[in-house]
Amino acid sequence: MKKIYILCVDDEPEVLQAVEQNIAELEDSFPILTAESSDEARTLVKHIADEGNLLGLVLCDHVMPGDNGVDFLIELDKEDVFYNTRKVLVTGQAGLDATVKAVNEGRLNHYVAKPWQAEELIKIAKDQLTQFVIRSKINPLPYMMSLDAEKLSEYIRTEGIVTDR
Amino acid sequence: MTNDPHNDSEQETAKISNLMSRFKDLKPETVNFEAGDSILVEGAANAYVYVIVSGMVDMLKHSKETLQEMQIDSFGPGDLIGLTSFWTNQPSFLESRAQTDTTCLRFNAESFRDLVDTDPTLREAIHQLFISNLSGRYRRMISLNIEVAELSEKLDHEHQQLRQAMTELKETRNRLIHQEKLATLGQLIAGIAHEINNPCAALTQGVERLSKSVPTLLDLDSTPDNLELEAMLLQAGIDCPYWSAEETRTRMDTIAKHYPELKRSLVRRLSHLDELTFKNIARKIDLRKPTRLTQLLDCFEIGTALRSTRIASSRIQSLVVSLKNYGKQDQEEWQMLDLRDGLRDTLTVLNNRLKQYTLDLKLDPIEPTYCIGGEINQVWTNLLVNASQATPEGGTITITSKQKDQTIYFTITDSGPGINPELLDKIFEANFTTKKTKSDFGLGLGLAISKEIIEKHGGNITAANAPQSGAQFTIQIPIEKQ
Repeated sequence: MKKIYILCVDDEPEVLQAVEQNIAELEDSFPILTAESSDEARTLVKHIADEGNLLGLVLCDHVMPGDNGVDFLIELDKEDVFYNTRKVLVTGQAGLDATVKAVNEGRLNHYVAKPWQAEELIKIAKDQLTQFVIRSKINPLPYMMSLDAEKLSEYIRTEGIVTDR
Repeated sequence: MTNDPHNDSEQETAKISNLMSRFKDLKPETVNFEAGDSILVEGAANAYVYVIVSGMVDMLKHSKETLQEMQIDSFGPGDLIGLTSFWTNQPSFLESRAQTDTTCLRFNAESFRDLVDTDPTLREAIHQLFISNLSGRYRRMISLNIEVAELSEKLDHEHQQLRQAMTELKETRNRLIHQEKLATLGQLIAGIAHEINNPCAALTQGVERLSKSVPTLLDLDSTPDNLELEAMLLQAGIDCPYWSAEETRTRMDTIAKHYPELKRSLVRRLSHLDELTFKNIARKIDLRKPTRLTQLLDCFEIGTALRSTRIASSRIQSLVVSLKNYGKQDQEEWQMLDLRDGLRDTLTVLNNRLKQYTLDLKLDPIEPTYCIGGEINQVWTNLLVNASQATPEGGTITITSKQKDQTIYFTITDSGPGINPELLDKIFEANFTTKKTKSDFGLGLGLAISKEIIEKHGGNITAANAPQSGAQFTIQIPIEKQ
């Protein structure tokens, strides 16, 4: 079975750790990777693709030294393997222009404004990963416990068959 | 000034020609003057009386203060010149100068006087002539005075209007400057909000974690031995440094290799422990028993949450100190200050905006400089915001300070496209801007205001293109204002 990773990108260690802790309960189903810059994130993403695994969700800050988060998400969206990857901006500061760009050019799925609530972030992560599983036509059974079981059950009912790609 | 031919000149001419017949003995000479010739010189002795036969003559007076020439009156045919000096025996009070080519009859004043003295009827006629001539002058003077009074009243009125316009202009200008200040302030506040946001997020998360973990910790029914281990982990959490994302990955890989049966979530939590603490735990408990391990990791994470909240609050605190410094100096107060301090405060306050750039600070020591700190901070803010807007992300902003004799030099260089050489002259003018988007506030007054502030400090600011591309602003300020 392919692993489905979660990638968190933020240049501030405290923020990165907070994101990581908020979604920690997902870790046993979705291994979490963290990066402190777009460059580091690129290396990790390449690694995931090289090993033939999947990237289910990216939680990415916008304002960082080096390349900003929006540009990284747009770049990621252009790669076929990450087409279904759910892209979420977690930021206090992406202006209107940058956000519009992320939506239009990077098919941004969600925007989380800092500071966020722990329950909010875990719910968003679960919703997005549920969507990822459904859209990627992945066998949802292993994820029933950790994700949105109701949506996944409905998906199983409507699709009828379960495939594992 | 009136140039009208005098009303009664014909009458006068008739009288004069009548008199002339009686002056044959005086043998008046006919004298011709060209336009521009002086007939009488101001302040010079005069021995003649002239009667204008044809042409116009200007009467001029020179101001003692400005040496400026003022036209007092002008005379035409039938008018007399040299009357005053004839009566008073004083040097000529005015200059008489031919306005056009002029012909006069000239009488020798002495023989004229002798003749007049010996003939009473002639004397009366002459007196009448002189008096009517002088009273004509006097009337003209009065109407001139009235004209002057009217003019100066009009002038006063216009002066007042100008003064009012000036006051309004000043008010508008102050309002614009104020607006620009507010716009800059708006940008600053947006940046600071973000800057405080991150540690705030960390604080919130830390407190949330503490409120979840501390109660479970209190529920533990620990033996003194266990309590010691728990206390050790709590302390380890407090003292634990931040691991980089890369370090965390490496440690997770190592732990996962040694303990393949551990869940990844526990591996991650274990990876946060420092080497020594990890060894301590591994020696004292069985890592494969998750209940006890989780308890101990909870203790450790209470420690890291305390560390996070401490770091976050001290970051907020230092940010507030910078902000206070930045704002405190915004008083109209001249002080001796190290200009680099204000620059550093401004950099802190703008940190969020400047984060995407490499800052290259080459700040040589400089002596304290006589300045208004808050105003200089405004210059730093304007120049740094400009530099950040002109430079693509990932670019470099270089700042240098230097002292040469009694002058401080700062340069701020960006790695943007530089300034169009044709626009270099205009760049300090109000409302000059090259920013195309409306996403930033501001009225394009930033550089104009900066220039004004630096000049107020007796220095100057110049813009140029750096040799290696990018714009370079140079500020020069004397340590003691001249």
